[in-house]
Amino acid sequence: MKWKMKEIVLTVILAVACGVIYLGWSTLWIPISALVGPMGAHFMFGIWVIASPITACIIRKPGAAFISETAAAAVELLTGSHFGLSALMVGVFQGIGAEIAFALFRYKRYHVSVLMLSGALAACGSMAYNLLANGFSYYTAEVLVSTLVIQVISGILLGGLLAKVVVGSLVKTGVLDQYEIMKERRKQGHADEYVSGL
Amino acid sequence: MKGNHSWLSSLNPACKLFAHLLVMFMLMAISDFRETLAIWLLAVAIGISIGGWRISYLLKRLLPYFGFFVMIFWMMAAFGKGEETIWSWAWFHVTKESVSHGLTISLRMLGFVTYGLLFTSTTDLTSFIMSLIHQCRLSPKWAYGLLAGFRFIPLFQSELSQMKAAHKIRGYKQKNSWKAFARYSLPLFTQGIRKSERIAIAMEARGFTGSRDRTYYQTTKLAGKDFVYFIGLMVVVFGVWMAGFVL
Amino acid sequence: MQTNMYLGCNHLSVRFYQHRKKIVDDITLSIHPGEKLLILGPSGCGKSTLISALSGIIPEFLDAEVTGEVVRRERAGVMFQDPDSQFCMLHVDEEIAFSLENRRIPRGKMDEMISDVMDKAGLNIDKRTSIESLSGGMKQRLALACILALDPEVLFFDEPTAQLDPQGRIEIFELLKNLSRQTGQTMVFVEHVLDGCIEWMDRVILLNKDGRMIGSGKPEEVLREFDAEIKEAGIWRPKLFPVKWNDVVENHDHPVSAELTRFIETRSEEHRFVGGNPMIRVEDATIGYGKKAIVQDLNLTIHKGEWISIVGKNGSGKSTFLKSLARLESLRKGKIYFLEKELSKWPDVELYEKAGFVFQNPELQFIADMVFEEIAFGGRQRNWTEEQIQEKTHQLLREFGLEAHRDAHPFTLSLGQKRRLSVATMLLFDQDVLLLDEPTFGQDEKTAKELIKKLKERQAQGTTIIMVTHDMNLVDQCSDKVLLLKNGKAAYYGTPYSLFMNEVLLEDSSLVPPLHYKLVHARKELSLV
Repeated sequence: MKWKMKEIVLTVILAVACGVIYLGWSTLWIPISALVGPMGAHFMFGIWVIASPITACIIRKPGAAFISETAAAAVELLTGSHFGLSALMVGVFQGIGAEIAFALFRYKRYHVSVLMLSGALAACGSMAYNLLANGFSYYTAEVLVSTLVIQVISGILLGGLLAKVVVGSLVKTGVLDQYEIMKERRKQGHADEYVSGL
Repeated sequence: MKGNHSWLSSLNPACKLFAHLLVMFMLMAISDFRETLAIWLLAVAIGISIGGWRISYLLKRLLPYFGFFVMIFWMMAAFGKGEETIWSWAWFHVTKESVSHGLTISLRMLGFVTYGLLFTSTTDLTSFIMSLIHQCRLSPKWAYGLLAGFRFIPLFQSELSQMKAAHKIRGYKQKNSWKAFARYSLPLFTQGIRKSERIAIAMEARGFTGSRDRTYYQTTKLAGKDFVYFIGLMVVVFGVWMAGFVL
Repeated sequence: MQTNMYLGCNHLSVRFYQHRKKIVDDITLSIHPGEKLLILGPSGCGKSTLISALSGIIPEFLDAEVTGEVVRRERAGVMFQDPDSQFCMLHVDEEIAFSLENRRIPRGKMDEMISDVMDKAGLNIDKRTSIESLSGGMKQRLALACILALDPEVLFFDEPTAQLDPQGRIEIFELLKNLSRQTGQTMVFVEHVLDGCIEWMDRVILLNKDGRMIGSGKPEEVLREFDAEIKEAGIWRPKLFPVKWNDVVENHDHPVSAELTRFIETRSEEHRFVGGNPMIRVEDATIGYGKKAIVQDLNLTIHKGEWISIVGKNGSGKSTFLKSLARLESLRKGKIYFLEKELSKWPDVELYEKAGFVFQNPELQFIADMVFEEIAFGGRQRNWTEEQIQEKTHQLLREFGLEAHRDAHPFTLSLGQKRRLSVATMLLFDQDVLLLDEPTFGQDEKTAKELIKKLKERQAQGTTIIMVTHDMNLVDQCSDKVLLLKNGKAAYYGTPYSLFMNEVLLEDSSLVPPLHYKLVHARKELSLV
């Protein structure tokens, strides 16, 4: 499927917006984790994977989930994240995880459950990266499992569900009218989806 | 992202980025804090000698990260496991192993930041994107799309801080994290989507098709000095790493 | 359909898929080579859509249902209204080169062509200047340079000055006028401010809110015949046209001249309101970040119930000073007293019950998902009773004409409604002071006037109003005092009358006074000659 220019710019700009928010989230994360330990802070994980479900749900093209998460991570890296390359690498793994969810449904279903699945798989991707690269091998097995569980839950709620809420609000404001998400709604004959005025 | 007239900023951006990414990979593989320290110091030395950094600039840019350094060190040191307990209180548990591990992780963080800064402070964003087109075969459609989007980083940052000021006046405090996210993201996203549509239309209205069939105002090439920097950096970093095994 | 049509459309209708109604309805239009055409209509009437269809943006890049025929020129350039969202590069030369690259111009020819279009567009700056650092007016010049680099047969302008201050607008129109004289190019405009452009248009067409064409003809004819419709559409009608300025100046018996003279007399005699007790006292204030001071050594007192306008060029420190009054910028030196207590000693909650701040972009300050809750927010936070919240919120909804939208999401409102809502949210506690950052910027005449009316009503009830603005008519009509900032320093603080009568000051800060003052100055010059 060929990408339209406006879809490309939209993907990049959403990724940039997410990247800027991620950076704020990262600076919030450190003091919290220094206080309650990394375990408690893992509840905040889900926000870092929200770029994928939001973009994929709007654009509905193969690659949207992966590209947006990777680009958001790159923005975080370029604007001076203390996670440095890890931010980018985690972004890549999370993006792959999220992409798998949409690929499983052949890029045809963007129900909230698929978005939640993408959040969960992104959490798994993040864990895969940590196992490959980082200090996680340093922790015990129970810690690992509970981290994964917490991150998956957070990915489902803060990533998938929240993405649905955000996209829902965006749809109401009418800014998405020119994108695939609204086109499909129109095709399905939601005559009541017309926006008045504007 | 701007160039700064240093020798480092005259290098091919894609090649420089690749070199720094490789160093970051090696940093991830190294688990000894002395080697990590040495590689971090190397970045500082490169910055000062050929990166055009002044000491004052270095301090200004890195100082905020020393706070993180301390916090990350503490986080790794106080929640780790290990045999030789040095100090423990409440749920904090500091051991000899966790201290050394904490030092490695926090120095690695500093290393990431410094190598990242070494790239961003010496690279012009446009020539970086151009080198992605010319050296990495990125399609112009995506390359120019990236440029158009990256222009918005400062705009979004300033909007975020304006929003914080506006919320302060209205006495809004985020009690709940996901609500706070929705609150901050909605204005950014709606603005962003409107602007992205306008930009894409403006670009296409000016005849941009995204195909490779176009001429270029700026082109980037690979030169001898790029290989010198790349190989030099690799040899030194690899040397430090191997020195750890030998000693 | 005429086969030899140069540019135009035949029974053109456009409907965006998500709307039931056509945005452009059955329009037939033929534009001749070299013609300057102006399209007018209320906001949302499909003016921009018509231009998009004529330039080919619809249906190629924007999806819409199009019926009827359109005749396009192959090479067209379009200039858009938002100076920030029509560029994709970082520096001036790269941006112009982007147009050339798309045309596959060889690299060797580019430098010459770039300096050529920069000349034509009046961009006398270094070509490596970063776009971010340009003012709105300079950005629009760059936009013009970029479309000239396309070597277009037709130029389309979609409200090119809507986001500029009056000075920038005058400069852009002047530039385009000269360009049209030199090249004789075909130009199609959509504008909602007519001063500066209507004088040199060949033809004006007027659309109604249903996207139908209701008028077409010479500018003065359309203005005369459709005065009521144009006013209703919220278009900023020309202050003079079709009257010529020279006639007004030279002929004392000219009706416009007599009217202006009468007007200025009422101005000079008018007894400006002198406020009550001091509300805000600024002593030796210096504001800025890092080493750079943005506002320096400011001393002034604002009294209760006054209306203060803050004017000055872009970058003179207007907004920074306004923000410092709401403690959004910190003082580096000096003191600000709010109600005789140092500003820095006020607790947040109490301070913002007494001082409201309306941001330039209202979206950034919205918190709730519903208009009603947006206004009620502060009351809920202070645990008001439900009864109290209902009463106060409904009163504000009525006052600002938002009752019909009480359940709507704030982001779905029109620009004017958003602005009114943002003012309403700042009046829940009947704040004593209202600080506004360019409240009428980018709005049409009708919505701007409505907002000003509301503010005047509030002032009559004792609210102190402090606003940054570029609109000198607004300054003249509403404010009791004007603060003129120049390079961060107060160049003037006093009545608008004395400011506008002071030619040296006006020239120094490139302020364009309202017409009645201009007439006084022009007459004076004439008598000297």
